[in-house]
Formats: sequence, structure tokens, C-alpha cells
Amino acid sequence: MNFFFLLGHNEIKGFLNIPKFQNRGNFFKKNIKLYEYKIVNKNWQVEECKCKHDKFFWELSSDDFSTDSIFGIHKENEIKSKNLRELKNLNNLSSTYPDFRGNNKVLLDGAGFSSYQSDYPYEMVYKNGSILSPLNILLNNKANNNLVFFRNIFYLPLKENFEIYIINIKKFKIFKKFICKTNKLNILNIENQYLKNDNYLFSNKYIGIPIFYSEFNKQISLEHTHPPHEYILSNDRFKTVGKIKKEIYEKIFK
Amino acid sequence: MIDLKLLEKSKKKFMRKFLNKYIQNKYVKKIRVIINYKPKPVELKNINESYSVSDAFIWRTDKGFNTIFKFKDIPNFFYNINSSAHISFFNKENINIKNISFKELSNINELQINQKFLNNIKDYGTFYIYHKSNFKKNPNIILSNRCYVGYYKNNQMPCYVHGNTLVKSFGLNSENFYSNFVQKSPLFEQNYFIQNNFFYFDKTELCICNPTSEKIIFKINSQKYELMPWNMKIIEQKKNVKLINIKSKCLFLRPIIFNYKNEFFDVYHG
Repeated sequence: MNFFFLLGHNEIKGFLNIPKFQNRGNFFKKNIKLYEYKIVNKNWQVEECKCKHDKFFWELSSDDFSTDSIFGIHKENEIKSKNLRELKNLNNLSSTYPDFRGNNKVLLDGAGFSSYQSDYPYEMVYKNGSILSPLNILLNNKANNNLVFFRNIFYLPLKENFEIYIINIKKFKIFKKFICKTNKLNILNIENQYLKNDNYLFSNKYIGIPIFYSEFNKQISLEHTHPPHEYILSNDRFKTVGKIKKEIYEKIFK
Repeated sequence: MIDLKLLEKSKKKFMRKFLNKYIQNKYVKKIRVIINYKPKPVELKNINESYSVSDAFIWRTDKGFNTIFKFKDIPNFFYNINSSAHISFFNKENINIKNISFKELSNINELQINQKFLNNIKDYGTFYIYHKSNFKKNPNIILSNRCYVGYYKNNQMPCYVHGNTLVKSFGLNSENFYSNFVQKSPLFEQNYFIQNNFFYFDKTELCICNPTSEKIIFKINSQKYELMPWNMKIIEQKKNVKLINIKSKCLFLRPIIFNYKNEFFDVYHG
């Protein structure tokens, strides 16, 4: 099961198209609906999503929904209560290969737009750890505005603080610290001075998806980075990446 | 007293492990492809050497586009080994038009691909990146430089997309060439519905590359096309089309998509 989320910040509007079909062409039956999950009184409150939809898509906008809400596809009877203590893996509707994706788009009024095919796999919501992502690959020195949308979804309905750092991986030095929250769309403003080849984002304790946004003269670029283990296809990938993250953690934070 | 729940759980765990072992068997995988039962679309090579796999990246110098390519020195980043990067450019008919090498690599490297760089060619095609090193490691390693490709017009800022299909490969310290990571079904066509709504765009272009060494035939919303080995095509879709379905015996035919609205464009993988 995958979860979905909206982007958006100030004048940047977010739009999310979630398909009512799997990419191999299996269309969902009418009793399969989109549900909005939000944290209320330390529970996940689950409600049917009242959004624009047709035969093929659910269409959501950051004008109508909070960017902190998450969205899941299931039948009503797959959840026993509308208040959950934790996120559940309810079905395989969005567990497909190639991955089941929604289109996550940002738009500036009277200007450009950019999107990527997006999902937040259930396997990620149980994980603690750290992400390591290069800053200078998708952001742009020329841009008027460089942001990172950092989305974390954690299975427990917690709003807990954690840190993301801008670090230099050669000098093992911290340049900047952001205080972020779990189960939230965190917005990181990245100043041009940090756009250097050895500068990376490093999160401590919680993982998430870093989505890089740049805007110049109304043209937008939006894309996510790969987790480092995706560059290695042999069986040593997690061990190799784990070793690098451990070295960074020990040299910088201990 | 026997804990029945625990017994049931152990039984299920054993069955899952047993089934998994057989599902992952190479002959079972081939049968799954033939009979179209949950076929695995992409399969790595089980060979006795380290190799570097490249996606089919797309360069564009047509219609005023410029391309920028950004890649990491992944052998150094992950294994602390020195390597060089070799990039081969092909036209849309898979004819090699240029090769370049980066002997000295930075952590992040950048290459501008414009008409001047490609000897005034105003078209589109593919390019591939491989890492080379004298380094030998046991057990073997497989690297995939997924990289990021940006597209821009005039003095604008690039709009980026990452690589999305493993296509060609060379041994890390040999000239051995490997391909056909993407599987083809001998009998059955598969649908691939792109999970986006294309209705609102002025225009949509699908950049499709044949990831295999054999000719492929495919349909986009019932319109028939064919592509020779490793060839690519940009196929324009009409306005007001909501869904796009790619039907093919090639099990992983994911396009890079350009959407246009007013004077702006967006690029992403499908």
C-alpha cells in the first residue's frame, strides 16, 4: 500500500492526481475510495476524501487540503475504526511493479508548473534512519528560489521534532540545521552559498522523501533524488550505504 | 501445550520462504514471463564480473532545447576507488555520433549538451554513461548511475528528470558489453497506463527508447509504432486525451514525458 501527499507553500500551489487504476490497466471498483488521514488527538483520523473526481482520477489541491494530510486508497470496511493508533497496510491495490504513482505537481499563478510521479511506500513509514542527499545536483545557483520539500510519514500519529543538516561530506562539517517535524511537509530554504558539490542534506533519526524545487523567471523544476542505495544493484548496497552514513554520523555528530 | 497460533505463523513463514525460493529461480522466472504470470520486467545479469549499467538518457537539441547532464562519481563515493566515466552519444537510429571521457571526476559532474557540442545536430537521441576502473572486488559489484538530465530553452533554468530504465552495460574493468535487462514476453502484450491525467495540457510528447537488442512493436492508445534495437522516438499526443496506454510485449517501456501548457513545459518519467 502506498500513501500520497500534497506539496505547496505560500504562493506555490500543489496539485495531486491519484489514479483510480493500476498501471497494468486494472480499474478500481466503485467501493474503493480515497481516504484522508490526519492527526487529531494523537490518533490517525480517517475520513473519506471529499475531492473532485471522475471515472479515472481523484484530483486534490493544496487550496482544499492541508499539506500535512496523507491519502490512502481502500474500501470502507478495511478499517475497523475511524481513529487509528497507527497506519495499517490495508491492501495491495497500490503495491504494483512498476510502482503505483500519483502525479504530484506544483504551480505558480500565471507561471510555470512542474511535477513528478510520486508515492510514499508503506514500507517506509515504519523506518527510522537517515537520508543522505546531494544539494548541488537538482537545485540551481541561478534560481530566484531554491527549496527542499521534505516529506516524512511515520506510522505512529506523532508530531515529533527531528533535525536535518546541511553537511559537507569531505570536511565532515555542519553548515546549517533545520528543525523538522514528523508527519509533516517540511520546507527547507536553501541559500545559494550552500550549493556546492560536497554539500549534502543529512537527516537524523527519521527518513523521508526530499523533493527539490527551483524557480527562475517563472520556470519551475521539481524532482526528487534517489536514495543512495539505488546506485548500487549488487547485494552489498545496504551494507555499503550504511557504512558511509555511519562514518558521517560518527565523524560529525559524536 | 502447542501454541496453535504460533504453529500457524511458522507454517506460513515456511511456506512463504519455500515459495519465494522457487519464484526467484531463473527457470521459474522465464516461465512467468512466457505465461505472463507476474513477470519480472527487469532482470540483472548473473555474470562473473563487476559491471556498470546505464539508463538510456535522452538528449534534445531540437525545437530550441538544450540538455544538461549531471552525474555523480559513484565508484569513488561508495567504494573509494578511482574511475573514469565514458559517455557515448547516439542519434535516434542508434548510430554512435560522439564519445567523450571524463578522466578526472568530481563528486558531482556536469555536461552541457547543445548543438555546438553535437556538431550542429538539431535533433534528439540517446546517451549512456559507464564507469571504468582497474579496481577488482570480490564479490562483484553492479553500479547504476541513475543521474539527472535537465532540459531548457534560451536562458531559462533546466527542468530535471532522473533516468528510469536500465539499458546498456559494460564490465567495470573489461570491454564486455551487456544489454537486454528489460524482458520481453514471447506471447503476451502488457498494458502500461501512465498514471497521470493529460487532458489539460496543450501538448504531450512521449520519448520512448527501445531498451532491447530486438525490434519492438508497441501501440499507444491503439496507434501502432515500431522501434529497431535501442532506437528512440518522440511521439506527440493529441490535445484533450485523458489517458495514455502503451501496449507492448516489451515488459518495461516507460517514456520520458514532456507536457506543455502556454509557454511552459514540464518533464518527468512516466
